Amino acid sequence: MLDGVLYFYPLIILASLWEIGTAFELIGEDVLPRLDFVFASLWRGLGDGELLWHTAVSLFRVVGGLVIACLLGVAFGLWTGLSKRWDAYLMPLLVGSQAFPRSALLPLFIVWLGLGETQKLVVIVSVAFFPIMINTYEGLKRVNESHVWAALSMGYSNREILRLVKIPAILPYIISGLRIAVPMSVTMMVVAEMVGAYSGLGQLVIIAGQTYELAKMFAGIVLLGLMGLLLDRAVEALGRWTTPWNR
Amino acid sequence: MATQGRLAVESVSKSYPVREGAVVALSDVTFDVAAGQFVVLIGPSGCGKSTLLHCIGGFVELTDGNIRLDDSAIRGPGSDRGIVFQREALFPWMTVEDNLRAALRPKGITGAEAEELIDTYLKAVGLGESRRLYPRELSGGMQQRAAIARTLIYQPSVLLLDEPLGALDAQTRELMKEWLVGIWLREQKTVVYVTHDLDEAVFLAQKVVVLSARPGRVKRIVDVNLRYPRDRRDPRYEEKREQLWKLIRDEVRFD
Amino acid sequence: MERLRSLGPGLISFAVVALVWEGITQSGFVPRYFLPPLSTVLAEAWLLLVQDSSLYGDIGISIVRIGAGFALSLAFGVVCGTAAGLSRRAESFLVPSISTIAPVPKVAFLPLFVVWFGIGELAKILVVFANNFYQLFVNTFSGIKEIDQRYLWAAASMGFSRYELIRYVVLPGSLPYIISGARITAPVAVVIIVLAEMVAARNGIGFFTYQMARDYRLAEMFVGLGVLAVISIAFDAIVSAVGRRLTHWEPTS
Ligand SMILES: Nc1ncnc2c1ncn2[C@@H]1O[C@H](COP(=O)(O)OP(=O)(O)O)[C@@H](O)[C@H]1O
Ligand SMILES: [Mg+2]
Repeated sequence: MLDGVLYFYPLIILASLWEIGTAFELIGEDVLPRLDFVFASLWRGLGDGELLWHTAVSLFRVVGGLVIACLLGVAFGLWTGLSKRWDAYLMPLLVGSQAFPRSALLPLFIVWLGLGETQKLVVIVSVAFFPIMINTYEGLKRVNESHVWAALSMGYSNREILRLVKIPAILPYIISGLRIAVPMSVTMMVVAEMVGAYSGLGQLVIIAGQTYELAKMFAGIVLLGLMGLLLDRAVEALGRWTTPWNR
Repeated sequence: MATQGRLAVESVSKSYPVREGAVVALSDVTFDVAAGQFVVLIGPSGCGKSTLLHCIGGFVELTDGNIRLDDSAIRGPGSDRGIVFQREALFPWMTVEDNLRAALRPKGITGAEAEELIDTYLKAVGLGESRRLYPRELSGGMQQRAAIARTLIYQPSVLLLDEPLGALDAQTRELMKEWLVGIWLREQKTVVYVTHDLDEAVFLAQKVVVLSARPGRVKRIVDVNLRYPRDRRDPRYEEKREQLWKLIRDEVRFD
Repeated sequence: MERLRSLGPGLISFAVVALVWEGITQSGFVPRYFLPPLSTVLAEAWLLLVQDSSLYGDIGISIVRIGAGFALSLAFGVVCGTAAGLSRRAESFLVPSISTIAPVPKVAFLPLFVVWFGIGELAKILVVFANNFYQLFVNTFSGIKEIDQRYLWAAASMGFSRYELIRYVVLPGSLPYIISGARITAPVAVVIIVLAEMVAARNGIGFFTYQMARDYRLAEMFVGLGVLAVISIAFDAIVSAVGRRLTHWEPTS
């Protein structure tokens, strides 16, 4: 317990400096809001439901996007990984599409899809898809040949081997692809909300910046951090749950 | 005495296509294995021992020649031949007992019958207590014994073992050798066993097929007619070892 | 020859995409305000990049932002990572502070930086810095922690000074990690600059691309996209080439 507190001593120092500096007006309130105001804002916003609503909207978008990206990524990874022909034809396109900075497609999605929820989901899927797809593909390439042979000897058919050997073998790869996708998705969601949305933490943060409500802005940043942390831990837990044999 | 599991390897050649041309791994290899016989393939590293075992298993296609099991040519893998690899043979995502269960399912053996068999075979390899553990939680020797149990349980007539003791420490290897002899005497199966360890060959084999360096050819076939369990203090044991070492030494070169 | 043959299917796929793109737009199946024909995009590229040179100002400013943000994160990441890797005290201060803000998506700080520094260059460079710093810090730090203890013992018994230890053992030992961090963050710097230019900028190629999209001038927007792809590929290639040079003793994969 004490160890935990001691570990975070630099945070305690930094927070104290912050609070003292702002409370005694050594740092102007146009630079940093008082730390206790940030927490008050957080408390109030969660209490009256405003922050809670924005958080829920953002979380829904990210999780929705990740789920769709997972389904599509695994499907395409299996498709290209299992078929030599499609590997040759499809993979260059998929890899080539990564030459574009992933964020540069955002304007195009706005033109095509407007500012609604579909656009938000597509934006997130567009960044989360690739790491999941490529990891599934790589995982398939690295399936231990001797496991496949052992299963063939037992009398399993190729189709059964997909379920018995290949799917379990690629699960850890899918999970690590998902872990790469999470921070990318959150980042894209924030920007998509900044450039065009009526709700969500990204929108809250940028509006708060424009109206100089720094306490509220920091409250939003704190919630975004917590969301990033929560999602990462959730994927980690999902990994432990789906692949219990990995320690 | 076993009636099934007679193997005939007839002029087998195997080359792998690589970027420039081909690697000839095996060239015109011929030998017989009687039903229930314990045959050891020995030869320097890279001479094609594993390749030969994979050919018998039906996992890779022959470039030339024939392999017959009980007079019918081998086409692809089948549950009449079971294989154990040097390491990581078990499915790591299944517990030991689930690995054995998976081996029974294609045969349609499930339920109480399956559980009984699993019980029997796990006890036979001394793993009754560890059945609910994942392979990663077992020691190397336990993993190999579990892998052998998983292969024995679906009753192949031929057992293909590719350096099954190669990844184990010296003491465990000693114990496993004695244990293997016991299992083989009891199960009465044909065994084709790959190793580069001379002592394993003399301790286990009724017949040793010595392969030359790449491309692998049969250099000599040596019979070992000593009673099991074998006694290393027996002068004939040392003689056989010496004979094999002379055959192998010319093949193992630093280059 | 063999290599050419393996490229074949990929080239066919790209050709099919190009033809389908041209076909569905020329035939009017997909309206032009939704997707301009590929030929129009190429003609526009000729216009913007060859006949006219006004776009190069935007390209230049974006490259400067990317380079500055990348360099800043590299410098601070390596310095802080090395400090934390070599000194327990620095580690106990830096690691908890840095890892606490790690899960925050750094683009969320952009409005704050704009409040602090206005809409000028600094805000955008700082966002790239904030976003990439963590990766470089972690890579440097773990690179140093992973150095084989025996190298340090060997150096100590040879009587190396602290400077020599860092110069000849610690830095070369952690360099592969630093370079892999740089390689991971190089394309990310481009991604982040594009985002920052969309949210808070009045120039730059990301801003241009976004602006063209908002005005429904999609041919121009696609030119912007293409330019961004070139910048991203080139930046990645440069960082990789420098990285290989610096770690000449590592086997190339
Ligand atoms: N899939 C493969 N593709 C190409 N070459 C292979 C392949 N498998 C084995 N070889 C080559 O065939 C030769 C024999 O290999 P192997 O049978 O594994 O030897 P051993 O088991 O006796 O050490 C080696 O030179 C090896 O490099
Ligand atoms: Mg081998």
